[in-house]
Order: sequence, then C-alpha cells, then structure tokens
Amino acid sequence: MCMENAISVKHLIKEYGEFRLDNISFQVPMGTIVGFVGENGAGKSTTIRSILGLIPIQQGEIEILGHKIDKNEQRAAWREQIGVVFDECNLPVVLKVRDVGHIMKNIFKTWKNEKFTDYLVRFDVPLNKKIKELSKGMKMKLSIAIALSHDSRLLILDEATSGLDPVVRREILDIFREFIEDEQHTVFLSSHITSDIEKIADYVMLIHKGKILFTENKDELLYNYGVVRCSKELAALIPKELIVGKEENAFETNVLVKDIGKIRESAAFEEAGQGDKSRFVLDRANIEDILLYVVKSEEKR
Amino acid sequence: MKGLILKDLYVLKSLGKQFGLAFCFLFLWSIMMKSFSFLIIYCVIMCGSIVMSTMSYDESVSFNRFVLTAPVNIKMLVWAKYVLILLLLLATLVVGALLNIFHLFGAEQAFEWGGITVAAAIFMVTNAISLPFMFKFGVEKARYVYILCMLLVGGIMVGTEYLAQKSGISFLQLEERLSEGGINIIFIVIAAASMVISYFASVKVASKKEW
Repeated sequence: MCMENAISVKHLIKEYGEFRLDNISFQVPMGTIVGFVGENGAGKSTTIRSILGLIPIQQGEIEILGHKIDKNEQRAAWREQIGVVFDECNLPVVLKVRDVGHIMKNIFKTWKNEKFTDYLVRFDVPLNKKIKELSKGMKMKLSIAIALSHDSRLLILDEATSGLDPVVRREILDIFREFIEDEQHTVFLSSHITSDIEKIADYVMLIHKGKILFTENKDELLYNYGVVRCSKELAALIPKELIVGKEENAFETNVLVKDIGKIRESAAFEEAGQGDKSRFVLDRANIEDILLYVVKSEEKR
Repeated sequence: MKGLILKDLYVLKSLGKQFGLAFCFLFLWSIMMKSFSFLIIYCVIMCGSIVMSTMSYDESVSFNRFVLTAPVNIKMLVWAKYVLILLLLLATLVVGALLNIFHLFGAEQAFEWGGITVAAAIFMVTNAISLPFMFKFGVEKARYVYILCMLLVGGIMVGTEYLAQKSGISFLQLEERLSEGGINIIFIVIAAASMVISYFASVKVASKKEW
C-alpha cells in the first residue's frame, strides 16, 4: 500500500471500560475500497467514530484526506469531502424527503441538489413521503444519496448494508463501485457481511477485540488462502507455518492454510495420494472462512 | 448553522397540527378568561416543550452524530438550539404584540408586558438550566430537570414573596422604587446572563460527549 492515503491512523488508543482499541495503525489508500471486517463488538464502529472525531481518544494521530483530525476545529471545510453513512438513517423521521435537500444545501457548501434529486429518482425514493414512511432499504438509499450529493471524495460506511435484503445490497454495492471508478474516490466500508466485502473490496482489514489482525489485498487473500479438510493424522503433516487456524471434530479436521501452492508441495498432500479428494480436500477460502479461523486461533492464544 | 435551524423548523412544521391545536385551545380559553397575558404566557411555556421535541427527534436517530461528520462543529450545533429558543420566544412575543394591536380582547385587557417579561424570563432561565443537561444526559432525563426547574423557579419567586411579606419588606414599595420598566430590565438581564452561561456550559458538555 504505497500511494496517497485517504485515511491514515497511527497508534490509536481508545478505552471504553474493559474494551480497548489497542494501539491500532492502518492506511486506506486513495482510489480503493477497503473492507473493514470483524465480529460484532470487535471495534469497527469505535474505530470509525474515532477517526471521524466523534469520540475523544486517549492517543493517536489520525489524518483524513491529508487533514489532521482535531475535535476542536472550527467549521472544517475538508468535511465537505467526506460522506458518512451509519447503520441507520440519521434524519428526524418526520422530515419529508424533499426537505432534506433544502437542509443539506444549507449545511454543505458544495451541495448539488440536482444530483441529489437524480439519485432519489434512480433509487426510486419518493420525494413527497416522510422518512418514517420509507422502508429500511429506502432510508439507506436516502443516506447514501446524501453522502454522494456533495463533493465527497471519501465515503465512510459503518454497517451501511446490514439489515438490507440482497437485492438492495447489490444495488448499493454497485453504486460504491461506480463511485471509485475515477480512482480519485475512496470507500472505507465496515461490515460483518463478509460476502459484501468479497464482492467489492480491494483490501480487507480484519479487527478483533480492538486489534487489527491483518490488512491484505483481497485478491491475494482469496488466491493464497485455502481450507483443507482431512483426517487428524494428515492435518498433523501440514507445515505449522502455513496453518492460520484449525477446527477439529469427530469426523474430520478443517485447517485454514495461507499458501495453497506450498500445501500442494507438502508431505500431507503427498501422503494423501497427490490430493485424493476422498482423503484430502483443498478448497479456496472465502473471507468468512478466513475471519472465522483467524478469530478462533486468536481466541486460543 | 442555517441548515440546522431549517431542519428544526421543518420538524416543527410537521408537528404543526399538534401545536396548532394546542394554540387554538389556549386561544379559546383566553377569550373565555378574557386574558391576553394568559395566552402568551402559556405559549411561552409551550416553546420549551417545542425545543425539547426537536431535540428528542434528533436524539432518536442520532442526528447530531451524523451532522458532526459534516462541516458542522460542536459550537454550531449548540448555538443552533439557543437560536431556536430565541426565535420561538420572539415569534410568541410578536403574536402577542399583534393581538394587542388589534385589541382582540378589548382595550381593557391590554397586553401586560410585566407578566410576559416574567414568563419569558422564567422560560429562558428554565431552558438555560435544562439545555446543558439535555446535551449531557439526553432529553428524556433532562425533561425531569426542566419540570424541576419550572417548579424551582416558580417556588423561589413565591417563596421570596412570602418571606419578604413575613419580614415586612413590601414588593410593592420595591416595584414603586424601580418602576415596572426597571423590574423588567432586571428579569431580562437575569435571563440573558443565564442563557450566556448556559451556552458555554452546553458547549463544554457537548465537547466531552461521545457521539
């Protein structure tokens, strides 16, 4: 990850009673979609609220689009360049959709009402209805339309697709893909729906109990990681340095491995008769497998 | 900040029926009681619940969390609520003054500025005390503070008068010395000072809040 960063976090510490964001550092490169995954309570929302300056932090340096975050800053003009969507529509439910444009026009200097109306038409969000009359999917589309209707170069989404049906989610993911087409726009998307991340992310960042466990290129991750299903005896032959996580039951052992190529050269593979499918099954891992195994192995430690 | 006030005004517009009905009821009651001041004093009190309603709507959807990610800072967020209070108060006084001009209740029931000033001052002091609590603990908990303040401020006024009477101090004499204008100025100064202190307290509270 070289190039210019849309988000840069260094040594962030935030304590909440027993929970702690533990000295986390990461970068979100410009022009990419970074998927931020982790189970509920792992620290995704706390990280996002910290980088947006919504909660005080104990320690750390945060830069968004090259601007240092300072909670006491005056009207921060650079905030025109970010669009934020949380897991719910944050507008009073008694407002009419058409009023939202007038309000935002007076909040964002770079607000483009025509663009907003175009998005609403495209998303089939009715202008004359009150927000409380919209479905959850419609509300999320409204929030996304707001985030896209000013000069935003960076979209930060905190569980914005959770609770939505697959059709609406796919539609929303397509919009994010369009958004980054010119490589000047960036999306930082937190979700525990790993299939969404798998569909659109360039990078995957995993957080668990307030610690960033890895940040990897998604394609490399999916290309290199695999799940081996074999007997306990064969699993014991897999080189330890390739094992990321293991799950055993009475019938078989499932092992998440991080280099499929090397697995094919391993003693376990040869012992199984060059990958006899009845004794040694090697499948590509998906993000959900990786998340589950990595979190489990971390728990065991 | 204009956007924040506009948002509150749109919220009020959507609640127009409720507040309109309340106003009509008070209006009819005032006609029956032939008291102009009654209507305005109750409208002033109603302003308090209007401000709380807008904050309650904001809170239920975490509006402040969202808007603080936009080019809006804590000071603007807090200031918008104080401006809303002043706008509502001003609107109420304008309605009162207009009714007064048209002598709707007859010239003998003319607008009593003294009573209105006291009501407006109580409203402002009560809101001034409640608002930092609203930012700190949320509207639901702060509602009790608001009611308590109303009772407390009213109680202090009644209690002071009672104690003064018992001690032989005549408020009438004080009123004569200061004149009605003088007393009104004292109330206005107290109200304004409480709002200024309250604004800074709210900013401090809101700055420390986790949104």
